[in-house]
Amino acid sequence: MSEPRLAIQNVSLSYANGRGGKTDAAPTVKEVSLQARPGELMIIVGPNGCGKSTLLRAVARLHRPDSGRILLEGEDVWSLSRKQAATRLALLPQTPTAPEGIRVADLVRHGRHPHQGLFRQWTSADEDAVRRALLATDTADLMDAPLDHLSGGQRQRCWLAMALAQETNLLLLDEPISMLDLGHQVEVLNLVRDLSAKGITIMMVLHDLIAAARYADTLTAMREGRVVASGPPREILTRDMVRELYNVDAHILSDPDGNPVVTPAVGGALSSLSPSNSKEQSYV
Amino acid sequence: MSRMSPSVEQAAPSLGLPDAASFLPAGSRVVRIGSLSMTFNLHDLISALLILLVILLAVCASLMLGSTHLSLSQVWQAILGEGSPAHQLLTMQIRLPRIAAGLVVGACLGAAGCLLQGLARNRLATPDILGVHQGATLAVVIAMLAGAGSVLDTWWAAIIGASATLLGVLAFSGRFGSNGYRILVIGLGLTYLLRAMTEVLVTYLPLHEASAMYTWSIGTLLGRDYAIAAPAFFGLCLLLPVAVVLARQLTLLQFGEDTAASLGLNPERLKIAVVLTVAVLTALSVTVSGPINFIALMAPVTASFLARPDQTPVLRSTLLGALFVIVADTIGRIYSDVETPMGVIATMMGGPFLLAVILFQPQSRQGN
Repeated sequence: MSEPRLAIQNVSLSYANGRGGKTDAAPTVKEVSLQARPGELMIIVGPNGCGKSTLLRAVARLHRPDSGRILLEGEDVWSLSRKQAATRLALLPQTPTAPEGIRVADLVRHGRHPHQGLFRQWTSADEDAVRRALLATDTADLMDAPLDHLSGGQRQRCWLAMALAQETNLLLLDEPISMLDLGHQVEVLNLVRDLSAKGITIMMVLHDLIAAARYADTLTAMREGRVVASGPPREILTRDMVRELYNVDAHILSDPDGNPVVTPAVGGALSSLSPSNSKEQSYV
Repeated sequence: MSRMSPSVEQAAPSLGLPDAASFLPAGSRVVRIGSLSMTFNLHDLISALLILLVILLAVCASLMLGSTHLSLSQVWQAILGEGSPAHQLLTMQIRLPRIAAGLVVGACLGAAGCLLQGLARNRLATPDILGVHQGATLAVVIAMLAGAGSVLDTWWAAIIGASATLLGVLAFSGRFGSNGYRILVIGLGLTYLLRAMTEVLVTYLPLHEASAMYTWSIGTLLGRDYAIAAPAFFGLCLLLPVAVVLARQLTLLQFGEDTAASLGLNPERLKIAVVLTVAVLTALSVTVSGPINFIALMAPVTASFLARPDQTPVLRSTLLGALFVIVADTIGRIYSDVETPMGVIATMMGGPFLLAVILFQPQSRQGN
């Protein structure tokens, strides 16, 4: 068995040492260890403030862990230069921003930045990468359109194309479907699954437990900074786990394909439930 | 991944559609020599050349117009060292040096404004609005009080004052660019504070120095010559290549700090580099002409009309800044029998421009 593409080893970190006024609800990560194979789609779920986004940002090198190591193909991501790292891992943040009126092709083209330099501005390798990214995300015919004229799902596919143009083996997605309606959610998630099938390791934070169970190779549940469970959704998604994560009583059903479906029991909130734990439910 | 064909371009579209030529913006050309590959854009080039042409026209007009009107041929003769001595004196000793100083001042302001707007992702975040001019002015007054010489000998103090002010704004407003109007409010508050301190300190200056200080603080090119503009010119030559490199990186920052960082950029280092570059450029302009408002706003906003959305058009903004200063100064000289300081004209142009920017920009751009 070859070494894992991504290995998170005993990583702890807290925001407390960071600058900026973000210290309040300090989400922390405590002694997290995870591994992902090439082409694995790992989806991290958990209640608000459980540290899942923080963990993703640590892997993306936006926060340095207080302890532990994050290895990408055996190399510590923090031992890489910024540009090297950007050719090996790409991040799509939760709310990306773009200049108003930017053309899709120009957006995607900027994904090539880590491969470029002052005297290496636009090579045929850049052309091939952008072409592949556009084709893979089915955005080639949107190429000349302004990004802000597109639907939410199309826009998200364009952002994915930009990340793909980086040509990395690891893709980090922070709630890529949180602002989308069901149709666009499926559009984006199907694309994400296709990308992982092509060999890209994907680590994605998601709020929607049903979608997570439907698409994940590995479902990782976090609570209060720790990994509660991690494995194939059918094995780890249990009534007890949902209760432990969200403080909600739920039924675990099975869809016709055999995937677990979570639905909260009516009146199923536990009496000790604090309001903040329930507000993210979107199960219909 | 590792397929690198370093030299030959125009490879057949091996992966089918889409055509690689259309990945780059319209008008772009790629030059590949060996493993070198450079891009340039014809549209950008043409718009820059057009601005240069207009600058040339403005310079001609500025040489011709004034208390004594000269014809174009009289100006030309004077430049060649012919014609009447009075015309030669007027052209070569008075008007041309003054124009040179004006071009340098405007170029510094245009470049500084473009970089700062790009960093703050806010069109109103220009050096004058954030108090950088006032910081430079205060530092100059303090240097004069300390006996460092006259207004025009204290360019180094202006650089210190401008840098300190901008770093102060950065420190107080936390994260640049992510908090909309916060940075503007802090800059505005700081501007008034610094202005009040300046006015208190000016009262300690000897009368003649205070009066010179006052004239200077309105912003004028009256009596400026090559010697005064020289330090600013050398500073501009050094910083313009830096500005071009920084502008390229600022473009990535427009996708948000997280995305920029994951594309290999160091946002923190970029901020510091931009702040220092802007501070020095602004201070250099202040030492030549005194604080001139609104040029650093008008130039980059006009340049952005000519540029694509994902560009930080620092060179065109530099040229437009130079143009606007020459135009304002020429208007100030011919507007009435008594010369109106260029700073006043710039404000008269800039006030309505600012209102237009706020009133006519799309709603979604406001605040960020």
